[in-house]
Amino acid sequence: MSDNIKHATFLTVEKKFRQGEVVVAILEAYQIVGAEHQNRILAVVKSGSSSALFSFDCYNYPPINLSDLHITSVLPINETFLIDNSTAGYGVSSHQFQIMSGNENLTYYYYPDEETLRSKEVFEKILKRLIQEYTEENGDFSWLQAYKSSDFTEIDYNIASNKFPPKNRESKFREELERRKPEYTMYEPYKVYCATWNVNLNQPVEDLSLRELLFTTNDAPDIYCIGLQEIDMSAETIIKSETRPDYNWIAKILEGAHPSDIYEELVTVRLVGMMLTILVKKSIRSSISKICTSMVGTGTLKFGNKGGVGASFQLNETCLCFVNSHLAAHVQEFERRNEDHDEILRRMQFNDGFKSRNILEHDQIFWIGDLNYRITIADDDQIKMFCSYDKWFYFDQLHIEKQKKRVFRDFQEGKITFKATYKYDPGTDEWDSSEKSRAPAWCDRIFWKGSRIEQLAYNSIMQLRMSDHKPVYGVFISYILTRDEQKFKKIHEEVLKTVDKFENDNQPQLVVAETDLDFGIIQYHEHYSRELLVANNCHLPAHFKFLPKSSDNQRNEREKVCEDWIKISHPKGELLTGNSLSIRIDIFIDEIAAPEIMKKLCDAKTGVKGPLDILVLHIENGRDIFITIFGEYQPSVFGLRLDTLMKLNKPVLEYSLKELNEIECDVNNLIPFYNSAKGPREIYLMIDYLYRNGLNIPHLFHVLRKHRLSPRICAIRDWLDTWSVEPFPGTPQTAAEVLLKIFESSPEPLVTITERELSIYLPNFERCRELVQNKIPLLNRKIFLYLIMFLKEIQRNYMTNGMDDRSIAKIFAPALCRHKQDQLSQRFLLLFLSNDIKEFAKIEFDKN
Amino acid sequence: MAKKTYDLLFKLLLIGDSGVGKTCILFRFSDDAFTSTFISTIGIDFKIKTVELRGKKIKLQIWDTAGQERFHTITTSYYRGAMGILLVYDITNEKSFENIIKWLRNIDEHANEDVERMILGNKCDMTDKRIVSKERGEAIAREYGIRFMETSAKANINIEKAFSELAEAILDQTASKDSNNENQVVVVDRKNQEKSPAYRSCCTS
Ligand SMILES: Nc1nc2c(ncn2[C@@H]2O[C@H](COP(=O)(O)OP(=O)(O)O)[C@@H](O)[C@H]2O)c(=O)[nH]1
Ligand SMILES: [Mg+2]
Repeated sequence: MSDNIKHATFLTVEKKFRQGEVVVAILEAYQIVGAEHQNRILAVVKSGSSSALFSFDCYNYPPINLSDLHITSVLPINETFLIDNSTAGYGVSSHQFQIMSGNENLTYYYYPDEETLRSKEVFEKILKRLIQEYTEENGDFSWLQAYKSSDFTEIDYNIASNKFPPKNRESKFREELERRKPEYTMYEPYKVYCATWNVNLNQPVEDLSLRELLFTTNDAPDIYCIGLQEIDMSAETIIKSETRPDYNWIAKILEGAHPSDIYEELVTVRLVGMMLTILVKKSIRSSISKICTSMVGTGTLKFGNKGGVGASFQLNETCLCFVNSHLAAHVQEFERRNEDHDEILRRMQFNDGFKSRNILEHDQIFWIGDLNYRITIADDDQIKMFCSYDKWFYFDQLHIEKQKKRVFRDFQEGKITFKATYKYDPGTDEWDSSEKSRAPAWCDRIFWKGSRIEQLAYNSIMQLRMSDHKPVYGVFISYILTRDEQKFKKIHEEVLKTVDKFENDNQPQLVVAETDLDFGIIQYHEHYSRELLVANNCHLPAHFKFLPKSSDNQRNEREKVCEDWIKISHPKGELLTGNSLSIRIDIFIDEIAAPEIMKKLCDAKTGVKGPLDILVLHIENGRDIFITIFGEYQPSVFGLRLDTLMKLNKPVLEYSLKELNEIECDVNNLIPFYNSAKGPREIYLMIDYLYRNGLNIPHLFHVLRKHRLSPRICAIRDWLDTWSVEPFPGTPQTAAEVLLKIFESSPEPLVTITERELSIYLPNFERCRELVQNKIPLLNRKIFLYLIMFLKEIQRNYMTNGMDDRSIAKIFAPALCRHKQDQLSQRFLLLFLSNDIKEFAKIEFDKN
Repeated sequence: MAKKTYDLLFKLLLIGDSGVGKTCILFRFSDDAFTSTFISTIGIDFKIKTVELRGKKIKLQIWDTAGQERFHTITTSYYRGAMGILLVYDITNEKSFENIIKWLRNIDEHANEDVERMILGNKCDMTDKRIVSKERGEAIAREYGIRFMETSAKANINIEKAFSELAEAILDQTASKDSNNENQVVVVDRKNQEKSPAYRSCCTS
């Protein structure tokens, strides 16, 4: 796979996993399931210190969607984990490797291209390293549970039990097409003509004609299968294991074919003395596909002086196989012949580049050749005199061995009515008169296996005399499964419809009880929560997650699932069939959220009642559901600008959102404010209260703010927001906390001086004072100085309250300046706490 | 590689005001059925259907969107990656017709530049309640240079035709792209549907 595709694949695989689970490496491979090649993507995934190998079925290549990948296996990399190449064999199986872990033992195949082989090396290296790294202590595989419970076991169980069709669209499609095959296919008769001849090293001399052998029927055969043996047995051809076809013989065969039709050589396969040539009528050539050949040399040296050659192809919808073999010689060697036969069966593999199949994995098989089995009786002359197979079959080794099911199991042979085909004096019809005077035998035979085959003729040709064998031929009617293209097209369309429906029906579905969540009135600093009930009523496990949305403005803000002040109890998860889940949605408006929500509501045209947010609940491989969060935010003094607070002339609750918005936007201070006041009412009230009740309280302001959240804050909020005339409903500590919160919740910091500016002017007090004068707007400046005056008072009571200038600076610097780092702002505050600012403040307070 | 059941994958999108019949159109096309109960789509739904055009099997993945006003911003994030968009209005609803302009603007802002568009005037079976004449539909389509058709999900008028014409237009486009750019594979943009789309915040517009 190209790097791009590999990268894309990698990204998709990554998406299958959760946070903290790292995909270390991937490898493309395939598995052979039944008669099918299935793409697999293997991924090594690490989580914490343990790792595992995941195998994915890859429905679409390259995988883009999560649905393109389905987990087929999960193997923990533990002490039982093993990757094994040693089972590799010939052909396709040389790319075989096995992966084992626990009781699982899976066989995969590499794609034999260079890229894959390279990634395979890396992949194996990583696996080996992880195997070494494994120890019992770090073997926590509980994270694998998530993958086993749904995606994996569920689907696997369905497929295994055949209860449901597998989820894959493509395999559903194949399955449907296969199921409906009888509707668009029929059997059509084809004539198959087989002939075998041991030519005993004779060359195809000029005046030889094979017509006598190949033209014995009126109708022209559709397929010829001609097997020759001993075309050449010279030491040289044997040592070279010669495989080049002998064109002289092929020419003779073509010449000899039935004259009333035109034939072409489909394929020839040769090994030393054996050659198999397939001729087909030109008119059927286009119905043939997946042509491939195979050869097996047997015997001790396996050079190929004995063995078999085979050809395989598909005619319409039927897979055909032809084998020509020459088995071990000599009367007593019948067991060697059995072995040769078995070895050919075992080792002969036909690989069309996509799939590999052995001899028996064909619909119809024709096996011909000089099988060399003899007749074992003492008195040869008897056979010579009454040479009828009927009389002697009982002594035919082949008959005996087949009866014992040692060879040609489940193969059929026609009735033999011809004389023994071996051994004659060449050029005559006389039995072997040489010194050895071999006993006659039916060495040359034709077997077949498969349904819908009828033999029409089985005979030898006495007139072909050049060899010590007589040739044998067999004629068959073979019924071939053929597709009716018109019907097929129609059914194909129907199947596509079925598959579409199947895919639509196999979208995981979740139902939610309600898509609108109304939180009612939302106030600052209160907790609110609502339950979102989600149920899985469909027949598939469903994975869900809330999708992030990028922010409206393009300011590179991080993508968020929802506003920061909304919390979702289950941002993602899975639900098995029949299960439901209550997802809790919490809202809490704190000092950071208050100005945000104010701003958001002011920007929105929809008004207060509009949606506060919309959540996108995404179901993997399925729909997205929008969950709308409604709520009416009640503005509070918390979250408003400090200068806005100075411009309010009635309780904040009595302002409409629109009015508040106008005041918030009044940057040029066109709206009148209390110019006599040093700060807003709220700050004044807190500071005033603390002056009177808090100066001597130990640790009035505390660094550990989190622990000081008090329900009284809400009471104080109401007290402030309504301008209540009741006594202050809090304590000095809560007043102190509220004071800080007012500063923290304003949209902008009180001290609008940057870290950089401070770094230039520190530690010079005069210069810093100028900074305050120039950089902080008047209203804020007044508040700042007012606050500093108050903090100096706190500091003065250090002996009783324990608050020195350092701890004061430490607490107030972040709240007032909001810098990334607080060192400079602390030093800045210290400077003002330790210098006399009375004069400065007096002048500023008088300004308008 | 396993053989695919289709040659090309087109992502189509149905948009338009709520209640104009988008879901019914999709349902008619995918399941050849119609129901008159109105269940407002609250989110994004999709169905697939394979059609054959010019000897090519084309898998249509059709996304049905929520039409409600408040979802407008959020649904626009699904426009990206759509190769064809069906803009639907209801011939008995003037407002839904007027809003076509708004939807067109939305497409301009958020969809791929070369997205194929088609306007559908739905519910053309309701002749007695018709408010928007066919001529007005044709006029606006002409103005923007977009295909137009009147449909009825209920009476099954022009539904198949609308989808196959749109798919054909996309096929033409990809074909011409192919010939411009030799051997270029048709890029089936499906990334957006699984990758977290870049939604835009929905409440601030
Ligand atoms: N008469 C008629 N009614 C339709 C047609 N299409 C949809 N409807 C009805 O219009 C209502 C809204 O349809 P729906 O598809 O849910 O609209 P959507 O909000 O655009 O998805 C439903 O009550 C449908 O029954 C149509 O072609 N003719
Ligand atoms: Mg709808």
